[in-house]
Formats: sequence, C-alpha cells, structure tokens
Amino acid sequence: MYESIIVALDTISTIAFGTALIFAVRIPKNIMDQPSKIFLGLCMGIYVFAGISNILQHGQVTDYLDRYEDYVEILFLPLFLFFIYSIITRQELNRRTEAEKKAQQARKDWESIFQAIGHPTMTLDPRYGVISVNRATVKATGKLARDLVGMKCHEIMHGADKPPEGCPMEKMQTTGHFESAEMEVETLGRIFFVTCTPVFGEKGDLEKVLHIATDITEQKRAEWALREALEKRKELERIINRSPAVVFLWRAAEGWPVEFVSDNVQQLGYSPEDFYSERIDFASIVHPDDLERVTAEVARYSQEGREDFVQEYRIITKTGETRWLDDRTWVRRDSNGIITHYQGIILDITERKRAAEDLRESETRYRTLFESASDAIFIMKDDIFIACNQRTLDIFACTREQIIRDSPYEFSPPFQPDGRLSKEKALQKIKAAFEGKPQFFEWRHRRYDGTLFDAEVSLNTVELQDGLHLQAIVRDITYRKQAEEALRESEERYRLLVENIPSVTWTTSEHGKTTFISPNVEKIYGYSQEEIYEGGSALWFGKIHPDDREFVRESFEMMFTKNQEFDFEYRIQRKDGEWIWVRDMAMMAFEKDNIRYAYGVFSNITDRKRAEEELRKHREQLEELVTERTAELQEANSELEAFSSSVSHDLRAPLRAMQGFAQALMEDYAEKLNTVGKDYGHRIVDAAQRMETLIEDLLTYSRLSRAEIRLAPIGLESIVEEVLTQCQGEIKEKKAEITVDKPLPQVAGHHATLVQSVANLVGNAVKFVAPEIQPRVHIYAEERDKYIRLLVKDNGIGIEPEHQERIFRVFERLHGIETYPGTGIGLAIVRKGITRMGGKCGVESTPDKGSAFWVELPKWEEK
Amino acid sequence: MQTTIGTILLVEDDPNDVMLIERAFRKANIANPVQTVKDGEQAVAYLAGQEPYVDREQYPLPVLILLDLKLPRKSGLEVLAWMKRQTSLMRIPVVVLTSSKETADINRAYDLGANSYLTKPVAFDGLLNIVKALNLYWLNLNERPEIL
Repeated sequence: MYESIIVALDTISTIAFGTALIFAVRIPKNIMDQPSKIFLGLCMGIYVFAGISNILQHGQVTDYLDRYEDYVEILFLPLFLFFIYSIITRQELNRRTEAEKKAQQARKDWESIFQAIGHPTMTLDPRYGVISVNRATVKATGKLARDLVGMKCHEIMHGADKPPEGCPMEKMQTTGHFESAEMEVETLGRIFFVTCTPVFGEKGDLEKVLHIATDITEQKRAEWALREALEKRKELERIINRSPAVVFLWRAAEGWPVEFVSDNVQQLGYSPEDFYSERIDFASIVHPDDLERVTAEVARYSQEGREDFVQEYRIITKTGETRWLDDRTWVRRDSNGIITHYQGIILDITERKRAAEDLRESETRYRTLFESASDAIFIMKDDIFIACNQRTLDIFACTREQIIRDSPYEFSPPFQPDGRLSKEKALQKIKAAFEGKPQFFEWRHRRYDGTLFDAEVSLNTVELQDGLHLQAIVRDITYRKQAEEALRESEERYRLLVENIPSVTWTTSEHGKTTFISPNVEKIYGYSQEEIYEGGSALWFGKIHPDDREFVRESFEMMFTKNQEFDFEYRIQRKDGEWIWVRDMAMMAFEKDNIRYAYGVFSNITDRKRAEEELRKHREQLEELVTERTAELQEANSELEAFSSSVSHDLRAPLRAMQGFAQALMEDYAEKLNTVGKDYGHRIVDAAQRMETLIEDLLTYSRLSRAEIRLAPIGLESIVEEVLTQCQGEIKEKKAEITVDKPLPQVAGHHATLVQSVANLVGNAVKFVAPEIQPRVHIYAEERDKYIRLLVKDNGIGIEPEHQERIFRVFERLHGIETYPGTGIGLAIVRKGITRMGGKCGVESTPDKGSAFWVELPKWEEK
Repeated sequence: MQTTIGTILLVEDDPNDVMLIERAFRKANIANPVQTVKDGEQAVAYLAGQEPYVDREQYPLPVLILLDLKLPRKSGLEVLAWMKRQTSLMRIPVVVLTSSKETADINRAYDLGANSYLTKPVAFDGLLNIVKALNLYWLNLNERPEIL
C-alpha cells in the first residue's frame, strides 16, 4: 500500500515535471538559449518516459524498466541542477549583451539613416562648424567627407565667409530661439530647401544642429515649367481669342455637342455657355442648306479613316446672319481607334467668299461688258492682235482664228481715204499710242470678205501682266455716215421747203435786225429779201397799219423781255400800196453773243379775213332774224294765251246763257210746254253741256302745251288711288271691276298731269265696253330698262290696228256720240301730258278682246 | 247798318249771268239785297262811295263781294288789288266768281287777297248749288269782320 502511494506520487511528479519542462521549451529566447532548450527537451523526454514506464511498471512490472528508471533518476538530478544554473547565468549574460547591441544598432541605424538621406545633410556645431556630413553632401559638393568636416557650413554651401542672408542657422542665432527654419537657397547650381533642426544636449543647451538641404531643383523646375506652361496656355488662349480662328472640340455624337469652344466664338454671336449648356449643339447652327452635305462629308471622312479634313459651309449666327466658315477638323480617337471627338479650328471666311464672289461678278461684268460692247475691242501686243471681243469678229466678219496674230493694217485697204498707205499710217498711230498719246481717228477698215467700212478708232495703252499692250476700240460708223448724209439731205429738203412754201419764215434779233427771211417774202409783201435785210424793223413796223402798229411793237418787245407768245393778225401795206392782212407767229428761239433772236412765220390771210368778215355779217343778219322771229313767236304765244283766255271766258258765257235759260224756260214755264217743247229744251241743255265739255278738254289740252311741268318723284299707287276716287261715279254706274297689282313703283312725273292722263285711260276702259258686259279693268306696272310702264287693260271693244295710232290725235273719234259719248280729245291729252313729262304712251289691242293702254315714264333717279 | 241784312255786291258785266245769278238767289231763297255793277270802274266807284253811289243808304257797303275777273274798263284783279289797299274795305270778303280756270288767274286772285275762287258752271243746277253754298257759308256760317 505504501509502496503504491509512493509509486503514484512518483509517477505524478515525474509527469508534472516533464510537463513543466515542455513549457520551458516555449521560454523566450532572451531568457533561455537554444542548447538549454534542447537539453531541457531531452530531460522532458526522459521524464515523460520515466513517468509512463512507472505506470507500465506498476501495471506489468519488468526489471529492465525499473533499472532504467533508476539510471534516469541518478542522471537527472545533476542535469537538472546544471540546467537551473545555466538558466540563471544565461539570463544575466543576455541582459548585458542586449543593451550593448541596442546602442550599437542605434548608432548604426542613425549612421545609415544619415547616410541614406538623399539630400545633403550635415550636423553642425552652434558655431557653423561641420561635425559630420552624409554621402549626398559629398556628392553635391564634390569634396571628401573628411575635408568637409571642420569647415564652416556656409563655406561649403555658399562658398562664402559669412552665412547668407536669411540663413536659418543665422536666424536661429540672432533670434535666440532654437527652432527649425526653412529657406530656399540657390547654390551649387541647384536649388535647396534648407531645414535646420536644433538638437539639444542633456542640459537643454544647443548641442548641435541638423542641417538638411533638400534639393528641390527638379520640383522647382517642374513648377516653373508648369507655371510657364500655364502662362503659355493662357497666352495661347489670348492669342486664339484675339484671332479670328475659333477653336472647337466636338463630341462625336448626334448633333456634335460642343465640349469646348474658345471665347472668341462670340464673333458668331454665341457665347461658349450657349454650347456648354447644351441648349445649342453645333449642328443646329449649321445652315440648313449645308447641314446635309456637312454631315455626309464628316461621315465619309471618318469612315475613310482620315485624321483631318477641311470643310467650307455656312452657319447662322445668333442674330440670324449667314456666315461662311472654313473648318479644319482633326479626328480624336480612343485606344480602340473609335472616334470620340472632333476638334477644329473655324475661320469666318464670309468676307473672303464675298470678295471672291465680288471678284467673280466683277470679272463677269467686265467680261460681259467687253463681250457685249457694241464696239469692237481688242488688245494688241505691238501691232499684233492677241485678244478681241465678239463684236470684233462681227464687225470684221471673221473668226477668232482668222484675226488673232494678225495686224490691224491687214484688215484695211492698202490706202486710206487721205491717200496714205494704211500700214505706214497705222504703225505711226500705234507708235504714238505706245508713247502715251492716246489716239482717236477715223479709219477705213476692210472686212475679211473684202468689203470696206468706215470706223472710228481709239487707241490707248493698257498695262497687263506681261507688259504694255495697246487697247483698241473700233466703232463702225457706217450708220453715222449714213445719218450724216441723211441729215444733209433733210436739211436740203427743209431749205427747199422754206423757200417754197407760201408762208414766210424769218429770224430777227431783239434789236429788229432781220438775219433771215425766206425769198418768197417778195410775192406777199412786194419788198425783196435784200430790201428787208437793209430796212430792218423800221421798214417793217413803218408799214403796219397805224391802228395795229403799237400793239405789234409792244408784243414784239414782250416776246424778248418776258418770253411771251407772239401770235397776231394785223394789217400791213404792200410796196404797191395795197393793204393786206397777215398772221404773224413767232417765239424767242436762241441767244447768240448776248443778243436774243426769234423765229417767226407769217402768211397772207387777207382772203380768210375777208371771208370771216362776210361770215360775221351773215351771222349778225341771222341773229337779227332770229330775234325777230322769236319776238313774233312770243307774240303768237301771247295771242294764243289771250285766245285761250277768251275761249275760256267768252265762249262759255253764251253757253251758260243757253243752258241756264233753257232750264229756266223748262222750269218756270213747264206747264206751257208740251213733251216736244220739253225735249227741245233738253236738247239745248245737252248740247250746251257737250260744248262745255269740249271747251274744257280743249283748254286742258292747250294748257298742257303751255304749262310749266316740273318733274318730281311720284308714287304710281297714290296716282291710281286718286284716279279711282275721281272716277268713282262712272265705275259705280257701270259696275266695273277694277283690280290693281300693288305695289306700284315710283316714277318721275308731274302729279296733276299724270292724274289727268291716267284718269282718261281708266275712264275710257270703263266706257268702251260692249253693252251688257261688265267692265273689268286691270291696272299694273312693268319695269322696262330705265322706264316704268303703267298698263290699263280692259275687256272692252278693242281697236283695229289701223286706228291704234290715230286715236291719240285731237278730235279723233271712232264711234258716234250716241254709242260712246266723248270729245275725242281724251287720248290727245294723255299723249300731250305724257310727252311733256318725257314719257311715251301707246296701246296694244285686239278688236272685241280688249285693249291695254300704257304710259311709260322714267324711273325717279336722285341727281 | 250791319243790323239789317247785308248787301251783296255783284260785279258782273254779262247781263245773262246777272239774270241767272239773280234767279239762282231767288231759287235759293236768299233775302239779301243784291247790288250789281257792270264794270271795274263802277265797282270802285260803288265801294269808294263816289258818284253815283254816294248815298250809303241806297248803296251800302256790301258784306260780300262776288267779283268777275273779265270786266270792261278795269279788270276784276285790278279792282281786287285796289280794294285790298283800302283800309276801310280790305276786310270785306271777296269771292271770285268767274269762268276762267287759268292757273295764272287763280294764283293771282289769291295773291291779291281773294277769300275764295269759284268758276261759273255751265249747268244752272251747278250755279244754284254754288249760290246755296255761298249763302250757307259766307252769309250764315262765316263771322263777319268789322267794317270801318
């Protein structure tokens, strides 16, 4: 039992120990070195083995194992002790070497860092003395490190005895503040950024200064380069913006949106913002007529792989003007070769275009002028034709090939009209022209077909590119020559005319001097041309009739002073003493040497005057006669009036007596008269009554001829109404049926006269109807052009055609008094009245069927 | 004077007409005395109260004048013109009774101040009607002016 407890304890301790050793292996290196660990590991193994064998021994006991354990245990103790010792010693040793190593390492590190600094770096003592330098310093100065040590820093860096102005070291010294300082110095051909960092000792005093000169030459240069580049760019932009060329960067997309455009796009009226805001893309400002072409060209050039191309097209400026542009475009592609952008320079070439256009126009104009000139124009070099217009060919009747390279004198007859040799004379003229004296002369030319013509030639020099040339203008003056000839003939004819017409033409100055008078003056006046030239106006005026002389003289003067017309008829005495009438017409014609002259014509009008005188006498006689006749007529008229008046008065008086007393007789003595006596009385009364009616009608008729009739607008409707009222008695008596087609229009007429006329028609219509027949009268109107026709249509007995005109005459009757009583004046009154009103009347009738009497009066028109 | 029945002055040269008018007056039972003068001068004399018409008892100023136009010595229009110039006579109504239908006569008569214009009808019945109407209108209905 006891033994088992010992064994168990032994086993447990051994395993624990072994385990502790295993942990010991994990001890850090600085505590236990590698051999210790190996040793410890071995021990561990043994102990683990011993522990396990102990377990096995007590489970299955073997001597070998027991022995082995003992050995192990004997060995173990000294080993363990050694181990402990080793651990302790080792730890102490480790601690010491570690510190030393660290210090050494720090120095090494510092040194390597110091050396590795790429910038010249020095440590300085407070008196600028160099303590150490690094490799960069050596490299920068080109001196050995040992030479540098001990030198003053400013000697090295600046080659100067004193520190430079603004030296951070100096700054530190002077200000007394020990701070790091920076400065840029340019030395050793480089630019440095110097930093001085004070290093303080353990007592806080300035021990040394770390002086680092960072070489910033490259940065500086880069910076300068950048600045310069920026400046250049700005300058470039300024140049561009001041130049007419506008720079564009378009995105290769629909409509070419603008990514960049130089400010000077303003010359087209747009601002860059217009494009950037994408309100406007470039395509939208291209002229609609050009857009399709431009788009197609860009597409084609792009497809062809062109890197750049040039286009000309028009755009519309913001203000709506059209401008021509020259566009040089470069294609910008990405790495895959896909076009991303177009960049271009655009130039406004409107002026150039216009100039070119103007030039072309001007060229065309001059060419047209040249070609269509009515004169032959040609250019000569020396005496050889080198160019000519179409007219030249026409005038000379040749082709261009036939004339070019020939000479003008070849197109001339051998001799000119003045007898000189054409060639000699031509060369002389050409020479003179080349000497700067423009020539103008008449020339006889010969056409290609040999015919001759007269021409007017002008020669002038003209400076062309290849020297002095001669320009010749040849005008065909054949027509002018003909016209001159015609004029001469016409003048001759005129002269003959003047000398032969019966009138005399004359020219006289304002002072009365006659400078020309036709020779035929002698025939009219008796005095010859010469006598008149000699005698002048004194002779002339002296012969004028004394009654006419003064006004002729005055008018003659007025013609010159006031430019008045002179056209008079006056009497003048011939040389043989006979008086004649003349008509003299003149006008001021011209002024010569401050003297005014008049042209005049005079002719003998004695016969006409005589005729006129006779005519006047006749007229006077005629007028007397007319006055006489008028008086007679007036007398007759008044007599007629007096007659009417007396008819009206006196003719009636006995009638009244007849009728009145017959009636008185029948009334007052009725009982004394038998039936026959009464009948006689009635007959007297009736006859008197008829006579009264007749007189009344005649008076009406005669009154119509004399009365003044003033036309006024009249409504036919009111006329008809009035008439129907007037004829009421007859209508009732005959039981007549009257129809009126209303409305009836207006006419121009005289009220009373019209009523009278229509009343007569209506009366007749009712009266002339076969017995036992009810009269039916239809009154209506028709419009006929400018007239209104009023018709009164009846169902009466009608009128035979042969009587239809007659019945309108006075006293014309177709029936006996017994059948249809009446005076035979009614229709005459109608005709007279209607005619006096400017109208017409008539009848359309069929016997036994009825008649339609009509009157026509003008429509009323406001004047 | 006005208290008695007013006198009518008939200026008419034709004795036939005078007779017929007088007959018509009788037929119409008009009691007014009728004075007749046969020409214009007599008419003026009567109205002016000259010889032989000085006696106003016998020849009183008329209340109505029937005036023919066509008169010997002085026409009816002349009488009318003269009369209308006399302040004492100008108010006496004048009815022209004539056979003239001439517009000129009619207009002239009215211009001179005639109060009415009548034409003599040929038929006696017509004359009778006129006389009756005259009586009714001028002698009975019409208010007479004051004659100075």
